[in-house]
Amino acid sequence: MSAGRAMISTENQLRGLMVAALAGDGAAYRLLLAELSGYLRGYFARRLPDRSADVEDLVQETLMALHARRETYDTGRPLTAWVYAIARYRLADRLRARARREALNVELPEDLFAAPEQEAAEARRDVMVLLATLPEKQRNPIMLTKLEGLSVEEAAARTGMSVSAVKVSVHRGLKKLARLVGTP
Amino acid sequence: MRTGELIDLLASDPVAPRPHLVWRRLGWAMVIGFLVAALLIVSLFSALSDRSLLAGVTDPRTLRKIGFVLSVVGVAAWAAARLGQPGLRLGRPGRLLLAAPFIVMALWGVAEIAVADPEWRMRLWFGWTWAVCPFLILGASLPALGACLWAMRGLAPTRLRAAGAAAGMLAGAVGALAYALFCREPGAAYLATWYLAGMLLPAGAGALLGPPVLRW
Repeated sequence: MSAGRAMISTENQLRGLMVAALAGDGAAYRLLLAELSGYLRGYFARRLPDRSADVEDLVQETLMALHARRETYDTGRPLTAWVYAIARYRLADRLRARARREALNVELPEDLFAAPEQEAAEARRDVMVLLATLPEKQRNPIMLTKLEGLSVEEAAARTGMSVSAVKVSVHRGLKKLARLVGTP
Repeated sequence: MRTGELIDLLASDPVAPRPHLVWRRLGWAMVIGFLVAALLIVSLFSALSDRSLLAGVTDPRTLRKIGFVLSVVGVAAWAAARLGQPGLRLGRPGRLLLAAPFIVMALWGVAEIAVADPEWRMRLWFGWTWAVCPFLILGASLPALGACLWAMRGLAPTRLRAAGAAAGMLAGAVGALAYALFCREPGAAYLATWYLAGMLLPAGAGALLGPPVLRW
């Protein structure tokens, strides 16, 4: 059976159970809840792969929400969409509560002491990326004079350019970089 | 508790659900909101003027005003009912429906102003009470706002800000209905502007109150 038709048959089966349940059929309602708990468990497990305790909590919370709000289900509409909306709402609520709790937790010492190293490494990487956007004629003089600390004369000798050409290239290259970085 | 036990518990709950929950809750909120709003408006107007309160209520322009506000009540109630159910949204046709009464009245207002005498034109748009009208409508709709938010809490909104805004808009329309019975401004452009403002204020309040108040 194609995925679409399986979906339709699931919808029809579950909706049939729900309609019977709303009319007072307790056995149909029990069966419906049991079926739904299976689907819910799979859905939450996929969304929370590292928190299996939360998954079962969420399944129970969602079943209780479905039960408490069953009067909001319009039998003219798809049951699967109604269940999905409630499941997603409860999941979002749970994730939001968890994010709030974690924001209050004290950070581990590594978070603080790892930072400077990372920053320097990231800064160096950013500079390399920016320099790579320059033409070689501007990039080399800048790297030699600014990054490797050579004097203008030494850089001129190294690149085979004249001293004034080196100065001009560095000036133009830095101007271009400044524009890229956004300084007016 | 294991999930199987929970299911047994839920399935043995003997209370059979009553139908039409959404319309029952919203209906009560609208009726009670309107009665309190009318009470507030009547007290205010009888304190401020000796004119008989319902004089001129059969004037065609007053009937048009009441018809306009009733149509807003209708579309706002529809929007609130929709947003009170899980997963549903208004969509573009829904938002257009919500805007329709105002668009019609705005076009009518433009036509009225175009054919009116020049010295009458500003009156048709600003009237005499434009500065107080939105706030009086807001005041009249505050009890309805409480009632509509209460109604929404018993439903299952999954878009809390939108549901709050819809509840607020419905409250604003109910408050405006009470206000319209006694308001004597003649212009259609006036309605499209100042009544709209008066209904957007409680809608905005509802949008702000939605996430904290409607969470379930």
